[in-house]
Amino acid sequence: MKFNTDDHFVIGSEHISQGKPCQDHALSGLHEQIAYAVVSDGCSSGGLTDVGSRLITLSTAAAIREHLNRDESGPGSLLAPIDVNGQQRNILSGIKEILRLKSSDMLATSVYAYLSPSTGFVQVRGDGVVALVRIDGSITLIRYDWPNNTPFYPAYLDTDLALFVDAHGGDVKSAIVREEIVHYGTDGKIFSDPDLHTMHTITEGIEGITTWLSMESLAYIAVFSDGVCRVDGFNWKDTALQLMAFKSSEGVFAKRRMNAFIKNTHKVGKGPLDDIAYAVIHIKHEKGEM
Amino acid sequence: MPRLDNQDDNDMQSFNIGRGGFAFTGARFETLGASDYTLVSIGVDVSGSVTPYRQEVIDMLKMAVDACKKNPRSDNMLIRVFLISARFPKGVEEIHGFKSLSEINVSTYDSIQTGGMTPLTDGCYSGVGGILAYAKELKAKDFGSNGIAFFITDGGETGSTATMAMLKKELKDAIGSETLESLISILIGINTGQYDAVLETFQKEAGIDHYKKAGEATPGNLAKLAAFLSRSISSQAQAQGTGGPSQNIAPTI
Repeated sequence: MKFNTDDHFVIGSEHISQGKPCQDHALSGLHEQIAYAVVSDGCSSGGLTDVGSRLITLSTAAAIREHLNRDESGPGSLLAPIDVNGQQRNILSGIKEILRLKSSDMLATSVYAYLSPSTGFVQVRGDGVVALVRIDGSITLIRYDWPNNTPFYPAYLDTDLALFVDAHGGDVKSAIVREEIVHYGTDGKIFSDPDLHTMHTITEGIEGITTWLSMESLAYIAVFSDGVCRVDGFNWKDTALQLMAFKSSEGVFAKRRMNAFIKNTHKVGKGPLDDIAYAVIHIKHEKGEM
Repeated sequence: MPRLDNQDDNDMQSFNIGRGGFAFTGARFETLGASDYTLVSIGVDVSGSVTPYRQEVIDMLKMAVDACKKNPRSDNMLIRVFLISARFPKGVEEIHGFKSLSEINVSTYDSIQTGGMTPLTDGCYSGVGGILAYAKELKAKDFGSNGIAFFITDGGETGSTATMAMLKKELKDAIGSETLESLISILIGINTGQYDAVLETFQKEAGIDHYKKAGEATPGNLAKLAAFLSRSISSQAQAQGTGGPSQNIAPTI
């Protein structure tokens, strides 16, 4: 099995018209035998969250690499999500201190995938979309949403966690984080219940919602910021499907796909209204592995 | 179509231009990693009249391609160099198809030989048609592209298989379709003497964007021509992604 990865992010039209920078960032890469893909979406009403989102992706990638260096089982360890998040927080706090950044600058989500040849997981802290494309062509899309467009940001752990919980009613056991799941068959048609979803508690959302993966049947996995849900004239599922319809998997394959998709969106509307970030891992199975 | 260089066949693929038997080669898509490319066609007349300054033409090609290698956008250029002469089937023989600069060994240009007449329409049709056909394939794989085609000749049309109508249609399709972001085509006359008027008429009739006179075939003029080619390629490469053609094609060589 071989991995290759790519990532891309683009500014949305609302940020262009408001004179704001792109506050999403995407990063992906390989380290020894593992692959990772990370996206982060900076809060529009925060501080320098364009910087914050970049620091989230960079520190998460660094934490994943350090995790593998410390624990050779990599993402196969059940404690890996906790270890990675803890290490990421350590790295980030040091950088934040050096750069004299404020907590409001760090308000950004974190969605990442961490894969080894045998196993892996995706973790969502905040909102976003995960796409799994299998070798047989079937696809699963998973969307994570918090009420009132008020997602969890890992930076709340350092300052405003109580305020954040209060903003969502004050009960950490209340199940308010919606995980919507859509399964597409090999014929491209949805075969899951139209209302298939799981609700997660605030506590689960804060700790990070983890989905464990088995590699045998996977061809691609992508993590998206929630900008994928705000493309003029497209629903989130169509956008995610389009962005996963790779014509090739060499070089900057995700960048090419997004560029071509965005060109098409301008034929029917204004294109992405919000920033979009996506990071993709291509899982190339060798003959005899499947 | 025979090729003169030692490129690895496994990395190149053959494509047809229309149904008239014209063909070209291009890098296999799985070897391409960038998001977008500038496709460059350089067609060089190697008819018998070029014999006295054959070496200068070879040096000019080497200088132009080597200069492109120093461009910041060099990773996003795919260059095809081909020869135009009635000695070749369909009037054209590739030295190499569309390939990245890092794969081009300019020493292969030393094998260029001269002789025969100038099937200029065949050369222009192959140059423009190759860009358009390859761009279509690239687009289907999500690659963006624009193009620039140069045709360097010392004389007018003689004995092409392709018709002027075929060339005009190819140029019209290249500009009118959404396949290419933009295409610039340039006919360059060198050592043309009394043929300037003929070439200008050819350029206007075909719908080629520009006609440039390179003057006598002196080493100095050919060095200027090499600089003009690399500048124009660079300019068009920088325009890729902007939605339009380069605005910086120099008025003179």
